[in-house]
Amino acid sequence: MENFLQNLKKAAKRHFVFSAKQKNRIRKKLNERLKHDIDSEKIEDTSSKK
Amino acid sequence: VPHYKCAPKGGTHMNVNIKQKKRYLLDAYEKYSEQIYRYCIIRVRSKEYAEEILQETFFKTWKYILSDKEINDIRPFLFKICKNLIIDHYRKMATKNKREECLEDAVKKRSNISYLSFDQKKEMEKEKTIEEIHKIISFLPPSYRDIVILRYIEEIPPREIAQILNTSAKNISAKLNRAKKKLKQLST
Repeated sequence: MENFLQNLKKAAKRHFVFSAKQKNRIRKKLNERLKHDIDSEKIEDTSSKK
Repeated sequence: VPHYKCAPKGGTHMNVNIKQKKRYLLDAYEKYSEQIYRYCIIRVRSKEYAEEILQETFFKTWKYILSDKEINDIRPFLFKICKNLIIDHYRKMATKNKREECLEDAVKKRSNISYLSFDQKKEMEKEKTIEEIHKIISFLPPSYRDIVILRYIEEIPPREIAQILNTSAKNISAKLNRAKKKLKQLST
């Protein structure tokens, strides 16, 4: 049974790979969203100080 | 990823500035995106949907962090959001009566889950293995599937799985034992 589970884990990790290309693509989108939200927060902050 | 609370008790949430929040989320992305992606792709059987759900998981977490709510432990938090998004995904598919189409797409698109090998024979073996993994997971009752993926593929401790699935660690251990018994039928 332990062997069966070990093989399942190994097979899943070998075949379901999150490639560097995929990781970079989503990181880029995430960074864009974060930047957008940070910029809007800064604008809000400046306008509230005024 | 360091222990982090967006709104520490007795303190002000402004202790944590937005740059720290950004760093916190990006660190979590570096550390856990691969695990979450694998969980998604096993559950939704499509590279495209898995990517969409992974992305949405981090967007939702970011929104939560921005609202200064508390996160004690980021990994179970991310998995929990992801699990709910997968449920939404299947609900959407069901209402649109597209679930079958989704699975068919997955079979067609599965050839995209290939990276280095150009050898057709190897490719076919890979397809077969992927199909077998899906068969093993589908063989389990629905309530055991997440638990088995999280425990035996992602090696997440029962205590953390309990947090993800809103139950007790004891309950998870009991279900794991039952799932093992069920899987024994396949392994023999």
